[in-house]
Amino acid sequence: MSRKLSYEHIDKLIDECARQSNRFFTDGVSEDESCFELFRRAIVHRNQVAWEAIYNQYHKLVRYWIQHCSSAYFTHEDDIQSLVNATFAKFWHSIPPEKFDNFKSLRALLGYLKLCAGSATTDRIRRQKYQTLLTDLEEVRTLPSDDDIEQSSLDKAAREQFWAYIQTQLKDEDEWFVIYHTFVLGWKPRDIQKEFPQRFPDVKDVYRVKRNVLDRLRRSEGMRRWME
Amino acid sequence: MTCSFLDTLSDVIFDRLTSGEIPDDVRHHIQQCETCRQEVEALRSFTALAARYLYRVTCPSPDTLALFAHMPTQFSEEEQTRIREHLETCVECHSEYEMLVEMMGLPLTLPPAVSIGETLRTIVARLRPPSASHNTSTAPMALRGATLLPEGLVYETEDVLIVLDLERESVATFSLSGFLSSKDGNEVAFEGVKVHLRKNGSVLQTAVVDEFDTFVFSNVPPGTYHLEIDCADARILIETVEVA
Ligand SMILES: [Zn+2]
Ligand SMILES: [Zn+2]
Repeated sequence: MSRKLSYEHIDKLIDECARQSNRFFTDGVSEDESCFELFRRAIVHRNQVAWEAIYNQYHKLVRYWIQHCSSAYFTHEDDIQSLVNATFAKFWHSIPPEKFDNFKSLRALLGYLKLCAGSATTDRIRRQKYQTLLTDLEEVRTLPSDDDIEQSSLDKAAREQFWAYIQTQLKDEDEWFVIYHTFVLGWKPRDIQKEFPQRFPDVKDVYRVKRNVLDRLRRSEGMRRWME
Repeated sequence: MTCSFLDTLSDVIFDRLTSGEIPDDVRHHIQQCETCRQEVEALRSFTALAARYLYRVTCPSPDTLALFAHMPTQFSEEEQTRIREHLETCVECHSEYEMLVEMMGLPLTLPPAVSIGETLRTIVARLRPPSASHNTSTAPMALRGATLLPEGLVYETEDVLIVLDLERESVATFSLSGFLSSKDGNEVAFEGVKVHLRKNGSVLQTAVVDEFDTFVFSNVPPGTYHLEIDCADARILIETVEVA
């Protein structure tokens, strides 16, 4: 990055970044310096004007990434817009000023922005399915916040312990399959039967196994400490 | 006190105890019988607890999966093997991963928009940021009165300024009008230029720019549209026009 740009007036940078981005769009070449400098000011100086300019300059690009790949999951304008916002929020929160030096070029920054778009989209897909699962259990709650990647306030270690315990209570593979797909993946008995017709020729087989396990687990002594 | 009522239920009905659709006679019994009511309560809190603790507990986090799709070499050999093995067995992660691989393969610039097979170059008009609209002394603001124009509706390309104006015609329709001018202040004739109003790729209406460099679409229902302006040397695209 050339030194002189660090003294440039922000309005000039914004115009220049837009102009260069347009050039890239039309002739496939551009000078990245002004856009890179905008990112630097936004992240290192936490400069709000620079940050807004970055949003204005790149939100369509982010929307294009998301829309292009997630149409199977999200079609509503509100969902897409909220994913675009989540992407920028994630980007902003995950690069503290002292980390900016890890990025050597505009390409690297935009690559990371895309990574944030991918992660935010995946997170949203999971939370949406989790929400459906809770609704089915009559446990309707509000969607966990965007920061809450693990979809609940439970920490990862506690969840892993719980899963380890549950697995000790399962008697055979059939039980493991039913419980894993029911609770870990959030599937319905019918989906489980369809995916494993050899193992479960009838959906009633899934219901039977599930009932046996639930009956055992809810009565088990070891469950007490989680049930409180 | 014991009650064996729950044991008499079929597996399917038993499963419904944890969801909303419980048959009336079962519901009736549960409401009457304290023992069964407690049993069902316990069953429900267990399933809710299990869902909360276990949902995707064995899956790589969204961050991990995205990074793996982007740059697997960021992970140790051992971690890579672990994630790959998980992807082979977990249908949910597998489809997320495929989505991510596709996204990570997309370019870092917007692709040329809506190409209809003509050789005209396409320029995307940007929404002019509010701060920049103030120091503009070009015709449209003056002509129409800056106070009447919402700032967000000024678009620009390198050479052209486009001002869009939306007015409600009836309960269900709007008129969308536009004004074109060249940014360097030179007299450029836009008269006769065609403007297309598109939605989902198809042209809904075409208007012709008049001698005052304006165009208008009437009877536009609320929705999201694209505008295409066929200038002599380029097609100008406004990717998103919200009519609401
Ligand atoms: Zn009873
Ligand atoms: Zn998984």
